[in-house]
Amino acid sequence: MARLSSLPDGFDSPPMPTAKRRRTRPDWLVAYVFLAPIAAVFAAFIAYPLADGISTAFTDRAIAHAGNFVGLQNFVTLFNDPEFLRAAWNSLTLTTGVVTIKMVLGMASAVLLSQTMPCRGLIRSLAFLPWAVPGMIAALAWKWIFDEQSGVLQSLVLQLGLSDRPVYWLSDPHVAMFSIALAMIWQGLPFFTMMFLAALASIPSDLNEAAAIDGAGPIRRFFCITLPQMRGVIAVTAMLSAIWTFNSFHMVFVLTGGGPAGRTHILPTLAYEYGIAQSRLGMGSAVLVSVIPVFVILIVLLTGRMLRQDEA
Amino acid sequence: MVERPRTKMVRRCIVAFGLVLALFWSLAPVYWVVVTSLKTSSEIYALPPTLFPHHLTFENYRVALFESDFLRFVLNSALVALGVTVVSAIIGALAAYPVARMRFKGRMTSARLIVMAYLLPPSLLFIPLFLVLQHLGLVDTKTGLILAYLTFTVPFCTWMLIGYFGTIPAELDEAARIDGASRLQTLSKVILPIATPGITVVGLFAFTHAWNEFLYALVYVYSKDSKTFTAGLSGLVMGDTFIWGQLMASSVIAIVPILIIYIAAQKYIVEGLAAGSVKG
Repeated sequence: MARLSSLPDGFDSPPMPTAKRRRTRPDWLVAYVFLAPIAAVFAAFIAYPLADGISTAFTDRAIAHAGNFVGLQNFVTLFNDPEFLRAAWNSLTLTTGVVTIKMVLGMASAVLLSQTMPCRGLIRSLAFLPWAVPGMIAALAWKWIFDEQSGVLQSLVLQLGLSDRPVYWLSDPHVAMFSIALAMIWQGLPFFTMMFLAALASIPSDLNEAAAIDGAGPIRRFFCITLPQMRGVIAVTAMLSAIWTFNSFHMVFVLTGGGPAGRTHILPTLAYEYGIAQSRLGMGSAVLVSVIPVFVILIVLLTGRMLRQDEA
Repeated sequence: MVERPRTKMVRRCIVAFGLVLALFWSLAPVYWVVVTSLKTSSEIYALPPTLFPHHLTFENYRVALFESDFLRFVLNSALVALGVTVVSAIIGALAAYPVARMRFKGRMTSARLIVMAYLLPPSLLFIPLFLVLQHLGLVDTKTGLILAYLTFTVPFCTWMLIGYFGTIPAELDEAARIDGASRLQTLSKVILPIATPGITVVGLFAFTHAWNEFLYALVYVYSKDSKTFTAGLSGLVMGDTFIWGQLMASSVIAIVPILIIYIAAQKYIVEGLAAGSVKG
């Protein structure tokens, strides 16, 4: 069959003879047929597992054990389990902290990269590089940087005299959360920068010029014009990033594995620990189900915004 | 706007200083990976660390490529990622077309469900999805892993393509329909050829996601025949001795394909990213 390589020419070719009769088929039926594959994927691999996960959370199911209904037992256990409470706290503080810092730094670097400069395209590409590095590799790179014997950060701190003792970047539980946050910020910052750069570019320049003529300085213009204009983008970016940051299983798993003594677990790594490593599927599912309410709210809010922006 | 020369100077200094800081921040870790991969093992553990390799060596690459299973893991990753790309582009295009173009009951609901599925974090699904794969006998197979990745890539591709199809003038469809083309013909012969750049970007995203993914790979595949490189590398890390030279060389090898994609399609990716999540 001849392929139509460039479209506009394709229109000149006569329609296929058999095509005419098919037009009687109702459009809605065709639409449903087109949507059938995605519906199958959704039903089998999203909706069913989600329902199954929720019901598993109410059982004592294990990997080789069908399990019995135990009611709220798993949740009662969890809410009395210091490890779960700490993981929930870690997830919450890590997500809000990391997203906030990324938001501030992302705005700063977007403003910076929107200035006129030589080789702007190249500089932007280099600044976005962490975003292109696979998450697993980023985690490995930081694990090597944080290495407590031969890591580069350790000798930097000791040689510059910033500390007279070695810093236990990953094995001191108080420091480890900050180390994890640093690696997450490194990887996630370019997304904010890109989103904010695009938003900055879409702000009409006459607004800024008018304000400048009226005597507003650059800082005043940023807070009174740029920031309000970017409100929508900031909200969407922060919510998207909150979901993904919560989800950064790989960083915690590779950097600390939840240790030392379970002090740096976040909810996804704890769910892995209970559900897969200890094969207590019921408990693992319960950990995940406990955060579903938060995500339902976040997803519904975000869906509304994304669709509204799409219609506009 | 005219700036006073002194203000201009100050401004330039701040910008230059900021750029140096920003570039150091984003490039230093990557530089460290590359440099470590080129050092001999005694130099890797030398104190203080050397900024440049004093004895440039490709030994780590040789070991990673020919004396470990890494190459096989990379091949598995590539096969899985290709499978995911093809399947999600097809399903995505088929689903995006009616939502973007046709009138039917449930159009808005479909769009809503697609966005919601895209936003659903994979870490919420990994345990029950494991059970589904177990039922299907697909644990520890590449097919199983591909199916698992579709839960993220299909909604994502569909959502991006709905936006992309929306930018193609509807008159083209109408002309084709008047000429007697069916909906499927309109999609495959009229829309898809114009949408090639969009499909390419969406495909690259799907490929990148599958290539980079770690959690599902860790849980669903464990034998050499189906393990992807992310799971393979974590196997190396979890041991007590870290072979950093080999790990860093493997990392460089695994970054290369993504970097090629990223450089080749950077312009589209940034645009696509902006168009997909916020239309402005």
